[in-house]
Amino acid sequence: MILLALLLAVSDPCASPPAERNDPELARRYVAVGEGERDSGSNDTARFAFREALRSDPSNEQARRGLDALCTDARFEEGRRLLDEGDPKSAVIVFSRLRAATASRPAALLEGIARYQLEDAAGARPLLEEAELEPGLADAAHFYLGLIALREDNARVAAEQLAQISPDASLAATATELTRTARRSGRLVISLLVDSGYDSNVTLLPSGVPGGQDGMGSIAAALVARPLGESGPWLRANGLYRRQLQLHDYDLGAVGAAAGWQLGRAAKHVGLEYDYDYLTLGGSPYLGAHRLSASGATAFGQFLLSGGYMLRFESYRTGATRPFSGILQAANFTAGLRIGAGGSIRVGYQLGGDVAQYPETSYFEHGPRARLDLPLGERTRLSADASALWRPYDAVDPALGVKRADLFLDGTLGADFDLSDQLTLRATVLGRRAFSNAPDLSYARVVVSLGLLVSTGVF
Amino acid sequence: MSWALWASLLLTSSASATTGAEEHLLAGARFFKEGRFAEALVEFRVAQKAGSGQALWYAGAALQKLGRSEEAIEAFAAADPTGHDALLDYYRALACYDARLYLCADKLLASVGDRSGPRIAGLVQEVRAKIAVVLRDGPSTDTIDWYHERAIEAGQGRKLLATAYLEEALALSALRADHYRAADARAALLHLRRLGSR
Repeated sequence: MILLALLLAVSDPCASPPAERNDPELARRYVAVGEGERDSGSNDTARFAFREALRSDPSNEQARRGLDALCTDARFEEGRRLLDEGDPKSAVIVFSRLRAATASRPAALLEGIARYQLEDAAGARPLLEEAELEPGLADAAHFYLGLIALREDNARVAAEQLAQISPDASLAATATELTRTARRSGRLVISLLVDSGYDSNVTLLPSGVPGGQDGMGSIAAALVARPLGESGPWLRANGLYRRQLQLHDYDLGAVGAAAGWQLGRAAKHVGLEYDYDYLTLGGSPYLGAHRLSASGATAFGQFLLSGGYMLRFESYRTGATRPFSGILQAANFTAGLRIGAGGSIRVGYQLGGDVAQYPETSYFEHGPRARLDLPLGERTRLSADASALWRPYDAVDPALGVKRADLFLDGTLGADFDLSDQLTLRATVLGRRAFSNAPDLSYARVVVSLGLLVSTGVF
Repeated sequence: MSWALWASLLLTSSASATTGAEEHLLAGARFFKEGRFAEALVEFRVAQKAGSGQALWYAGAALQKLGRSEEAIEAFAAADPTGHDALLDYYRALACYDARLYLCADKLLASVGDRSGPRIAGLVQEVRAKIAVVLRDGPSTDTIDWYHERAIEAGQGRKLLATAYLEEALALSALRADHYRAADARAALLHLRRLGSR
């Protein structure tokens, strides 16, 4: 940065030259030449003439004003070009030099944007507040002040800033979307999802066997606290109750609590997490599980990379499922591309191993996965997820008489439609086709659901 | 070619009006030699303001190098017609050529001939050959009209340039049997000279 500044200073045709002599008469001649050149549109030549005038007489105000006026335009254009070309570091140097010579709110705005891009919120904020005083720049200034507040997880300030953008501004649509995000963000966020749906095969009956289908309704709630914002420690408490319309043995209850620490933000972060889940099935204890996990993500321009690892200590509480208790490990890696505004497509691979009580209930599994997230307009988001998972078990199952091997093909389609800043209509279709060398364990299942999600940032 | 100008300047600088002007002429020549024509132009302009009679010729050469051919034509036209060498006439001819004043260019190039050495003589021949191609079919009435229009546009405060366009128009008219708009050109030139003499 320092080297760049020095290089720019050396070659800067707008820098004040050192005084070399005291010759006011000569300076006046240079000024006359500079003004003539400037009037004929030859700004480079005029700049040189004004600089030479200042070299001859640093106190010549005409030369100083002439140079400043020419350099303001040239520096502004140069800074804008650098910003457009994705070089905010150099743009900051150029704009700050411009503003040192003359007050310029447009330059303050663009330097503020460049500093925002460099994640220098403290430097950007006063510049954007200065630009905000100019009516023609106010919308853009409020927009970036809103983005800074969002980045700092200050949802209230973000919403206030974004709300000041006039509805006919070019940024208005994006601002509305961000306002919605702001109102659902914060250091304490409460979410509630109420949905109902249909499950074609609750009991996982083999294909061709009638029965097993049922309707259901569920309610889920979550409370997430991030006292220091997105980057920092967090706590979560969540619960779910799903009631089947007829098959009450499959009513599901779940509560969970988690604590974690995330360094960085969503696109570039590493995180550690511990959580505990407790599930009931049909009103009876079913599973208790402690989980430790680590995850990380990074982005290189349009490219996205992420990965995670999980270690889960499972303890099943029913006689039939107790042999599946043990230690489950899973890892996944994905690579993707950003598409459109806020969308992404990712592909990856997942691996897992379950060391259960018996070899016949232990397995190693692996398979590919792909996911598409696609915003459609301001209010609608679509997602699609598909995966294939091969799961060969470790030993012959005496009850089945075979060494079990399964293949799961899963697909999920989801659509979220924002009804208001805090209320979302959510539709989901989930399908699974399970193939097994034990024919009774092959099945197909489709679950459709429609729900309402309320999510709000408390502060 | 820049070396030639440098040498030409060194030879003529002793004849400059003042020591101050000479310093700027030499500074301009140094810039010119380095290909820094904007800086050279400034120095030649300052030399002019310091009283150098030669400076306008060099300013014209710098303007031509900067692609500002019409301004170069004005500078050459305003310069003292005496005391310059063939090389500066060559630059003037190039300015005329760039401004589509082909007859002006050809006349100057003919006067340069081989007075500036064999390299310039070769370049002179090349440019004259191009001019011969342009003028091969004789000027059309549209062509002559174009020069009159340029003169009218330039006439708004740029009389030397307007004069150059009218002189070209008049010379082109002479190449036609019908002397298309020759009288117009003469009348306009007379008008400009009267304005100039006021």
